[in-house]
Amino acid sequence: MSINDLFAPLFEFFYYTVPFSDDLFGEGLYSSLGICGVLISLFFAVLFYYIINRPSFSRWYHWLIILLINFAVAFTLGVVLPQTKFVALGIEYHSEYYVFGLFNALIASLFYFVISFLIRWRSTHAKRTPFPH
Amino acid sequence: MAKIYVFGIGGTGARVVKSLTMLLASGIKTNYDIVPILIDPDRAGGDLNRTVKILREYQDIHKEIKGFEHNHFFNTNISTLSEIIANRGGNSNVIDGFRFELNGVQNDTFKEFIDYSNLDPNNKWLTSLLFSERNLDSNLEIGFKGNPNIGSVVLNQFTKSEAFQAFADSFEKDDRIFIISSIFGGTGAAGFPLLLKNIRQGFVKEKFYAHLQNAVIGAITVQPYFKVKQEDESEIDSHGFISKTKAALHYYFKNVTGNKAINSLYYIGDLAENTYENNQGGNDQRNDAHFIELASAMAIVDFANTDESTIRTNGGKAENAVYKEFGIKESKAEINLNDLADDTIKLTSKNLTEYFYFNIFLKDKLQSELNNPYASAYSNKIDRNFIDQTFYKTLSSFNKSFRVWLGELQRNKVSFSPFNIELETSSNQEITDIIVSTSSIFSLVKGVRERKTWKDYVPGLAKNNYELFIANLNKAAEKVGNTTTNKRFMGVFSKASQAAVNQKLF
Repeated sequence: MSINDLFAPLFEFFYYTVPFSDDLFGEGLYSSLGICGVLISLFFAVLFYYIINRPSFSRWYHWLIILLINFAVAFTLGVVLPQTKFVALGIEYHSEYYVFGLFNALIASLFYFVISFLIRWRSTHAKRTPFPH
Repeated sequence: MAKIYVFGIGGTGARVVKSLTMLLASGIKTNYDIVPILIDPDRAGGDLNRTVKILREYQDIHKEIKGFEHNHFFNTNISTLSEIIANRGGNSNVIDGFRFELNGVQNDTFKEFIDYSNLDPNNKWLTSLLFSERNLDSNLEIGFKGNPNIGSVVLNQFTKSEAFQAFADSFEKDDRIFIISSIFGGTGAAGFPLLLKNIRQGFVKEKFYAHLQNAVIGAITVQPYFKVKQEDESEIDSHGFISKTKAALHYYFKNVTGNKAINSLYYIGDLAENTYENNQGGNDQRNDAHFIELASAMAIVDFANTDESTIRTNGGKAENAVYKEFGIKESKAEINLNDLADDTIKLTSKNLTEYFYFNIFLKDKLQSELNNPYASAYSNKIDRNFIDQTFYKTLSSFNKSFRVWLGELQRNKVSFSPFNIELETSSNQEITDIIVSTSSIFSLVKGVRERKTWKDYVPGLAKNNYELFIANLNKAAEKVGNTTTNKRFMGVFSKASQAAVNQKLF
């Protein structure tokens, strides 16, 4: 099973429309978007829990701010990556990019949420953020 | 662990024991268990009762965290004589708490105490030579009101009491004795030489105690450091303080130092520029804490840390007796930590500052900072429920006494003002609390500049003030781990206060 095969069900569970989704799968974009989603979510979670890691920035709304930044970055990637690829191939889509971008951001937020709960116990100042155990 | 029996005689004795309790709460070590015995006929004495209250609170707090390696506050065990006797299987009812109860002084005049009416005519004449009519009619319930001639008669009772015998029975080879008294009053001036003489004789109710006779004994004799307002009706007149001191020093020259009865004698005094209300005793005798009392308490710590090889007793005689005077770098109206001598700074500054930060955090911040990991991320949580428990209430009450004590030290003359604090007072001018009006908490220690690192010069990078304190709490919580909430609480705050003070100040 390729990485593309691994991420495809996740993306397509949230958003599946032909032929846009088939083209995403065919061009192997699920793998690059999935890996990017995991990596940026991991980066932002590490940033929040281990690098910023301070009492004055450890409330749920601080965590939410980072989540929104993660969301915005993932949305941008979800729009720009497919658009760049399909424009180069001469395939024309319009609103699909933005709808897919939203779902890509949502999936990245899920990654951020899961990673947060996996790594927060080692944080000194935010081990209970965004909410108690 | 070996014990130091600390005899606090009279109002000054009680106030010095109070300062000692504050030092011990802040984590200053003595390597001895402390057994305070307060001797004061003035049962309702405001100072005495305040001291007994904080001693009990200290004990309640210490009991909960005893032996916990992560905590250094309240580390020294303070016992009552009753507890020591009870541990040895004896009759623990011989002394109530920390205070030795003098019999026959309640509602009695001195005349009644000595059974004057039944004396034969010759003894009546002799008594008239030694005591004035005013002395004889003096009510003993509120103390000896500056009359050591009365005190020496009445306090003789203590050395013949069951409590004194219980003390002698419990006294062990490595234990020590420290006696606190003022030289210019009634109770202390009379009690100190009397107590010393009886200990050195080694006989209690005809039983000989070799350990007692050869005990290492230290004492502080507090010379005048305050005056009282002149009142015609009062028996206490501060004009006599200096002459009383001279007379007593002359007596000590023969009967305390001259006969090698004492191993370490500490002298302390001040210019006595402050004037207290002329309260002869009772609940109104509540004088502001004074730096002299704090310095006297440091003498006890110094005595505890004096190596026994340098001060020994042989056949009831002290060898190589030590005499010390307390001094500061410069005499001025307001002193702070920097004005203390280097050894005193080393002994007290860090601990007092750590406890100060612990204290103000609990007062001003704890309730709004219960969401942080140090409080909420462990199975034994520091939460509203914990705050409602007896342990925290007792600690809060003790901490308030500590803050009032700091405030009083600041208000008194000489003013000891180590921290930038404001005083909160009641309508009758009693200090009720202190106020910290800045969020720059590491600027609160007078004469000590906040330490900066390169991070402080990069905006937003360094953790400062309460955020730094909370960061240290979170880190300390990881080191302390899970244990009972009371232990965890004290361990976390003890470590965090230490770390914050190390990082920013000392």
